[in-house]
Amino acid sequence: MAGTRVLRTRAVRIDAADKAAGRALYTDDLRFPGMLYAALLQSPHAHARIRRIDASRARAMPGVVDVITAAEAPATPFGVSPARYDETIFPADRVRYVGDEVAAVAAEDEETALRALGAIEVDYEVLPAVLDAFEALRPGAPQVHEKYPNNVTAEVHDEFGDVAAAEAQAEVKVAGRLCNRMPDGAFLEPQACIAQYDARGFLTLWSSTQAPHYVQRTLSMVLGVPIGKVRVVKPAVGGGFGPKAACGTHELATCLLAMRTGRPVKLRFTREQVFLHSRARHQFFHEMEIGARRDGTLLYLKHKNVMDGGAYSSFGIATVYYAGSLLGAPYRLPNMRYDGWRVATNKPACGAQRGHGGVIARALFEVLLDDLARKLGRDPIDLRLQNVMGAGERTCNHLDMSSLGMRECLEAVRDVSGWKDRESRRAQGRGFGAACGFFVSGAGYPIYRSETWHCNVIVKLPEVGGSVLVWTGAADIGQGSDTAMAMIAAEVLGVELDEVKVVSGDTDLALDLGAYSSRTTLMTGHATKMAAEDARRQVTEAVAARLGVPPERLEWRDGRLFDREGRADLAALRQTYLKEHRGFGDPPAGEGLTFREASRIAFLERGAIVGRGHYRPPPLGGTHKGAAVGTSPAYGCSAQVAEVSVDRETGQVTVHRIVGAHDCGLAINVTSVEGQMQGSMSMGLGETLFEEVKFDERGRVWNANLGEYKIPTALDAPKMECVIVESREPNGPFGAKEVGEGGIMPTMPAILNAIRDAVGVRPDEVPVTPERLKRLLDAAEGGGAAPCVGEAWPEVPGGGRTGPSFCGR
Amino acid sequence: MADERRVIRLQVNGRERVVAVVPHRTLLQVLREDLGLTGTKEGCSVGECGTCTVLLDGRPVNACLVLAVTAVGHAIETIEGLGDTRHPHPIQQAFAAAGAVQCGFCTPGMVLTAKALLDANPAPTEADVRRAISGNLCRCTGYEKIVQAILDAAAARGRG
Amino acid sequence: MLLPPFDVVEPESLAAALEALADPGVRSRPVAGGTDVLPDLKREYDRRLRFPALPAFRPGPFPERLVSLLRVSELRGVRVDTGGTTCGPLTTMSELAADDRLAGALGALADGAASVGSPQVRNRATLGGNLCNARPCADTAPAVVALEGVLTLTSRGGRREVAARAFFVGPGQTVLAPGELLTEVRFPPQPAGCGSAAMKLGVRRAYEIAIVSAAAWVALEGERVRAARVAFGSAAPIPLGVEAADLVGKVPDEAALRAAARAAAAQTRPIDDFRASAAYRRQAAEVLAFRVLERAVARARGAA
Repeated sequence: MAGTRVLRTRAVRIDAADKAAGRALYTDDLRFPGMLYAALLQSPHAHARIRRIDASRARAMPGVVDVITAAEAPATPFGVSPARYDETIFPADRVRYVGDEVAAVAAEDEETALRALGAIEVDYEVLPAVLDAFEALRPGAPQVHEKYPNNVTAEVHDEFGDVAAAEAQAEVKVAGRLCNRMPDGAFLEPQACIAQYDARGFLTLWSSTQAPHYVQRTLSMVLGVPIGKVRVVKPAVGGGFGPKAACGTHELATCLLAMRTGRPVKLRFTREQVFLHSRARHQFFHEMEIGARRDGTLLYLKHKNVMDGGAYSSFGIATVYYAGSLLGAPYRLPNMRYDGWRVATNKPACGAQRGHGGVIARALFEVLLDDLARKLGRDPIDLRLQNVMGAGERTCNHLDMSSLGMRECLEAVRDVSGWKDRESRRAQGRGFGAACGFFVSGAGYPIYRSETWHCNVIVKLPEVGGSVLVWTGAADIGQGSDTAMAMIAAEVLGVELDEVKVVSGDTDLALDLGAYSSRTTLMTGHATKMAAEDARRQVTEAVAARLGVPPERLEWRDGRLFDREGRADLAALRQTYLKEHRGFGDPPAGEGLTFREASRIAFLERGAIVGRGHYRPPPLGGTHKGAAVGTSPAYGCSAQVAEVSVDRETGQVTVHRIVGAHDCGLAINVTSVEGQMQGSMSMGLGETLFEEVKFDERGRVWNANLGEYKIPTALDAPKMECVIVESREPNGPFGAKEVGEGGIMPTMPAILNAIRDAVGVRPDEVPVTPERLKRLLDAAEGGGAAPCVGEAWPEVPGGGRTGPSFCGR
Repeated sequence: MADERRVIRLQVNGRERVVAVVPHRTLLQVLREDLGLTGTKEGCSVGECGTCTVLLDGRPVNACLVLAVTAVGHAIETIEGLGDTRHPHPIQQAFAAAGAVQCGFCTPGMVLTAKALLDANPAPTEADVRRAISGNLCRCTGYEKIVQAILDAAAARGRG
Repeated sequence: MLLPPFDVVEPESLAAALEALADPGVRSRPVAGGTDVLPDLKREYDRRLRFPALPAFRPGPFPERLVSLLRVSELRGVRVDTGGTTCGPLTTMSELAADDRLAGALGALADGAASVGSPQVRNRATLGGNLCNARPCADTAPAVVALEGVLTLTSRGGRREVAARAFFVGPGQTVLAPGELLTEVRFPPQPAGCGSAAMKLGVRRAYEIAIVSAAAWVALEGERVRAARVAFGSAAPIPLGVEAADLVGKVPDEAALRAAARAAAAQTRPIDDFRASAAYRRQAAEVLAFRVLERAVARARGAA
């Protein structure tokens, strides 16, 4: 493909000026006349039966306009995957975690709504709660849901290739475990929503969401409003990272209150409520064994995974698959066995969070690769380079690497980080660690079974001529998708970026599945490109018709329309334009027809020029159960090298530098690609060293605040250097594919490998807080346990092929 | 009395604004709800995130922890007071140019903190910058481009 | 989150402030920077509104009136004279951290102040608030104890002086009587050859509540230690001050400092909690004690 004009630049984001000026409007910045304020009553118990709710006192309070409980709310189950709809707006029978919503109040002001909560009498019968995934699997454990025996909400048992045969051939094996604690999305803008219901039964919800369409569907399905009368609008959103990608009770209850009161209703979360809602990353317990030949060729992976998913399924059925399937690449791994169990507990529900299921799994795999390198006396990067896949290869679990710049990424980080000179740095107490990762560029299938086009984009050229309107349901949540789509439209139409206006995140405009699984650049990008090309073709045809020449005679050069033969009377068209703009002070000039003239003439010729674009991936993947999960039209990949030092006396880890390389196919916006890489590194660092949600023995969150749930500050963030690799993905628009999530995969293992390089111990649980690392260092010094320490994980009872625990000790 | 409103005069962005507030109202509430200045954000309510940062007599503070009545007689600067649509403040321009703005929720607080830093220390080191913004959390950027933007703004200022 | 309803008065003199606090008919409490008091009130109010069945963070009735001290100019300022260094309780953490007069001998105070929360919090949080709220993790408390600060407590009935180590009674509790305000924190004159330092240990580098913290003050006479004190935060119910008696008369080399640190840390009584285990706190206390002693010695010698 020839060079690009707008793409691959560092264009300033189209919303940056407004955001830097404080003019961008987030949901809580909006207010409407007559607006009521809502508050949610949430369970103080991790597990309890609701014997009785009496809201009469609350209803009678001055200023309270409405109160709803399960009695007033539809009982239609919802969730993320139709196969696991296990939530209701308010549970009729029992609450399943501290924070489970029980009622909602709408009042004239927020304080009155909050005060009314105390006037709602709820008679709970406290039940025994289960707060640990392995406890939940034991016979006799409290059952979180009747319909999930043994609290297993989903399980996966897959084998690709022939693991037993591969085991027999393996000449060297490494094994280990890794677990994390539940993190939180910790986006800076808490959830908020405003609902409005008009006299004709049209429902509108403004919400801080990543997925307006999924919210729209759920509102319609649960509330019984015809879907064509439900509109969801996404204002500016202050970060999502996954937890905001599904509809929640807060949105449903707010809508119901608006429908019942006939007034707009606003609800916003406190920071504590963000933690209680969670829908963030699961807790994972991974065990793996990798077998290889002595020459370093990987032969097989055996992988067992138990996930604590909290009280509801959310995205969990996809998560448990991703945790296994996302190890099929980027190395040649011909044989893979995966057994995964997603377990329910009486804790906040876990869902999808950046890297969806693959992060802890990738971390353990990469750490074991280093173990393998050590055993074989090989350089860890060389070992990886020996095994990386290339474009055109297919994984053992049927994922096609249509492009894969993994080699280039690894070589880049090796060269930029000074990897080959790390011996001298180690003498100064520095450790180096490398790791790779990859991720889907959009899920191959929507979360509900459907033939739907995943993205639809309208490119409308205003009748008055000139600018370009891009209408999309895509959700810019800070990743810069509005700018990316504007750049694609500008590139296709040959106009300046300044002339493109994007209206997005509104289900009235177009259907888009939303911002999750890193899909927007590739999928919405395709649809935008198609719509822009459609619009341009219509303009060309219309102008050609006006000129009386075949459309092939006309060509666009630098955003202007010319006749290849130079004979057509473009001047006459200009005259038409000028006559229509008497009094205007900025007449078009120069050779050819400017875009605004051409688009105006096209309108005069045939009416409004509306370009349509849409995209859905082709059928992807194998035929095994769950094959859909992990499929994608393309895969981004990433490599990182982290440089750390450890304070051996306190166990504190300092990450000095992370060098990352990411293959995004083609960088639509270079600065945005780097921004996603750096944001991923920062989030990965936080989960590796600082972040954990802490529960007490009654299932209450102890640290539901940003003081004790610790995301990196500017003093914790290292120097982050980015190299962009462009493999020109054939399935991506202009060759582009994802960068939003692939970049987090290598961070945790790069840091873990670097810690091991620095001080010789390898933690098997994250976050590696100073205390945890100090304990390991003391144990190692005392000649104690080998790197893989910790209590033995219990067997997984009654679940498929478990086999003996194979952690090397 | 707790429920009685009192009329106070606040100096906001160089202009006097008159509001009637109950004593326990915070400056953040006054800015966002009474004065319609929604550029200052509420991320946590307890001074742990920095999205509510405003400048009080030129110093960054968390507006969520300032009782509005105690702000009388002090100069309050919010993000709305910096630049305007046609002439953004150089720091705002630097943030946009450097790619330091992603979701934008931390941005108003960051920009104001940066302004206070550069007003007090026109030639900060990177370490100075990181320390100055250590009270402004960002989940999107990893801070790298924010630090760069502030250093760029300082350099531009230095070049006059 | 919302604040519970309360009245606010803003006296402009100490006398007026004491008057407001002494009013028996109104439940009052003083507030300065508000960076401890206001979050506590918000969290507690939110807890009682949303989760009345869960335990209160801070049981008891809310104050009816906050007496803001911010306009009492008498309580501001740091002055150095023959009596020593006297800090007004309204001195903010930022002011303490930036005050060059607090380098060297009184460096522990500047260190502690500089480590509080965030720049925004430091611009409002005051020395008085930090000490009077008396959290075990208060960042300036170990320094004030190690430096043997003398606290002046004033009421309408008069003044009294209390040594820092006697000021703290328990978590959140001091010897302040109802109607009494902290009006001065004075540090004795520091002859040449004195140095102090403070450090805290957290998980990340800003916005941290200390897992454990330490401060040390050392006075040298020639090559040897004339006197030395160590104090810990988050290692006992109150800031814990320890005389490093075994250092007296010794040359403060690494071995001597390590031994002194070990002895000092052995006296800590840390607890297990969600932030850390007691065992780790004790280990870390010893590490921090050594490091602050080392830095205090360097400052006493005129370096760093």
